[in-house]
Amino acid sequence: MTEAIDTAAAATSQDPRVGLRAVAALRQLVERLEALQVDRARRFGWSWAEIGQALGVSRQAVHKKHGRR
Amino acid sequence: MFERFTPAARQVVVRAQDEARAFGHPWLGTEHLLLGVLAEPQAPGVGVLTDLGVTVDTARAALRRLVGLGRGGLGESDADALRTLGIDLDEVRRRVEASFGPGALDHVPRRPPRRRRPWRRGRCEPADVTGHLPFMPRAKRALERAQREAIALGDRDIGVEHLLLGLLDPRSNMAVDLLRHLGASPEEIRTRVLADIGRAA
Repeated sequence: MTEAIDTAAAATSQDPRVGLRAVAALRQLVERLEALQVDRARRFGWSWAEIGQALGVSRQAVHKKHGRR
Repeated sequence: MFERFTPAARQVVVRAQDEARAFGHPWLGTEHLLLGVLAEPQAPGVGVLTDLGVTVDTARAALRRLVGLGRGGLGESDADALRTLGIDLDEVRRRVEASFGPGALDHVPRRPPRRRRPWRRGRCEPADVTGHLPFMPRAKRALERAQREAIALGDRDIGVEHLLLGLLDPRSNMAVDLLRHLGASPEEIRTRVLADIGRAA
């Protein structure tokens, strides 16, 4: 429980460096997870439109980002 | 520019490319050049780093902590940053690997698997893997600084010691950050390297 309080305190840290660094790491994690899931969906035969819908973006956006990786 | 390099100095650049590739970094930075310098512990001036506890192993470990693995890999500094949000990267990694296999979170495939065709498996790696990696601006500046150090010291050729001095850029770079991270001051290194190679600071 105290650990949860500690992390909550850190997350609202006044130091922008700490917060921005956390956002950068989170973004990298998101990008990596997205790549893994999109690749798997394609292997399962999902269309770009279906993947886009699940991600909440257009099929053009998802194809542009992952189509030629 | 490389024609004035001594064989050992050329080896530093070659080694730096290998180090960058091993890290999965698509660029060649001062951090990789520093690792290349450290891989030549017998070269003049490099003993100063060893004496200060900076070796190829400690520097590699520090680099891993500072920047992590490239190509979407997440390093220890990312893990620390995510912890401030209450995210346990080890636990995320465990779950992702349970679903996608070992190393899934740390190795970005070059292209989606569906594009792989059996009869094309044996072909060469793309140029960005086997070819030369582009020098980052600060790495270029470090090489230019090395050239100036050699000229200032009255040396004809650019050796490993000049590369090391070139990396100690007062305007800072990743190599300097790495050295500071390991508790070594660039100013002190410069003074000691100059003394080591028999020149006054």
